[in-house]
Amino acid sequence: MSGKGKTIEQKMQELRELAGWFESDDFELGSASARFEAAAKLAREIEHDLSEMENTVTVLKQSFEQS
Amino acid sequence: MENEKTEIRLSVTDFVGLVNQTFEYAMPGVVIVGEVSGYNVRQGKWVRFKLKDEQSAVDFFGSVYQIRQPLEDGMMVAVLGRPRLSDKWGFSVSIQSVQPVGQGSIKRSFELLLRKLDAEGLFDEARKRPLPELPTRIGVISSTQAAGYADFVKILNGRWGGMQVEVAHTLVQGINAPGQIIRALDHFNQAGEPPEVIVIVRGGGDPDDLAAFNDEALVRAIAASRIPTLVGIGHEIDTTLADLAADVRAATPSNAAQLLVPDRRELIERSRGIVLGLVPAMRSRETADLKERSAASIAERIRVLKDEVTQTARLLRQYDPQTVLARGYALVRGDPSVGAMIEIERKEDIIEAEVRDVRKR
Repeated sequence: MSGKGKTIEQKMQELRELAGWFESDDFELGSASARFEAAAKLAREIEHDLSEMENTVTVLKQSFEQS
Repeated sequence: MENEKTEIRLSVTDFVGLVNQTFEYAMPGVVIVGEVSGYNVRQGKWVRFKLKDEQSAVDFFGSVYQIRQPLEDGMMVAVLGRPRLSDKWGFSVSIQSVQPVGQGSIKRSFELLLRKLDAEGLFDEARKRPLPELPTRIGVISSTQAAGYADFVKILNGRWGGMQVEVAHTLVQGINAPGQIIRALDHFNQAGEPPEVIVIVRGGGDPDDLAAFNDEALVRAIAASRIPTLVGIGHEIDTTLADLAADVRAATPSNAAQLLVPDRRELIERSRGIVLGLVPAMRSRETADLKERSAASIAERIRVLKDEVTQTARLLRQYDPQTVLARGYALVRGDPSVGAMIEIERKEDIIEAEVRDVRKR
């Protein structure tokens, strides 16, 4: 479940879906542990992405004074 | 006549031309502050009034398009203009822009323009558009030297990242500010890669400082912007017409940043919360599963026992003497020796008989 190339919103959606499985009828004890690990990894990725992202602020050179 | 050498003789037209040239050189733009008197509009196009103080009065002339906030006699205003000597009408100042000054005049002008634009539906809720949920390109109009701008950028960078923020540096107070902000709005609206939202911010100030944001042309430009607008001017208690015309109004520049993007710290907490919430969910499902399995095992044991009981009952029924008699057999009771009496029990009757003979098999 690699998160490379995915946006934060996509990763959050994926995390919500993973969490939803635990409440759904598809829940199966055998694969619960692996899914839990995947969710924890995804949450760590989201935290990393959110902490690292920065804005680019550019002040336009153009003058808005009346010519 | 000693003065003859320095004397300049000019025609009237040349004199007018020379005076205007001198005015232009000496005062390309001058702001004059005074009280409006004799305000009138002719043919719906031309505006004339005087500005006066305790000692003097000067004529002003311009078009209605240059009057961007309603005026009345008695208001104090600052007029940006160019002194002109007209060949027909004499001296006047050509109006470039006008702004009310002083709390009373600003309030009166604000009320008049609010009533006018409100009647046109410029501030209707139905016109308001939502801001993009997570913008990646933002256009900001502000003075980069203003405290409000610094607050906005600081909060924005703290809350969210990965955005391209283009800043149009303009005046945010004074008579020239509305024109610059309008040109910045036009720039973003006509850009090849336009931002998803335009943010106009300015920190707090007295009513004179914020008066630029009650300029009619600016308010109309904000309302007409193709790109959704977010305006945060002054402190929470300040209301400008620019605020009212915006799609979304922020109380302050910092609040504008809060309304624009989510807080990354909240999102981190939310994602951690989702994972932590899985532990009790998993435990409860595990317990339910165990209960289910143990219930199934008890039911199985009961079923086996039931089978055993059924089998035993069937076996017992086989040995029941009545069952044997029903199959045609008979029961013999008594001493089987010659001459003795015995009892023979069958399904339908019981026979008493004497033993005549006993042989070994």
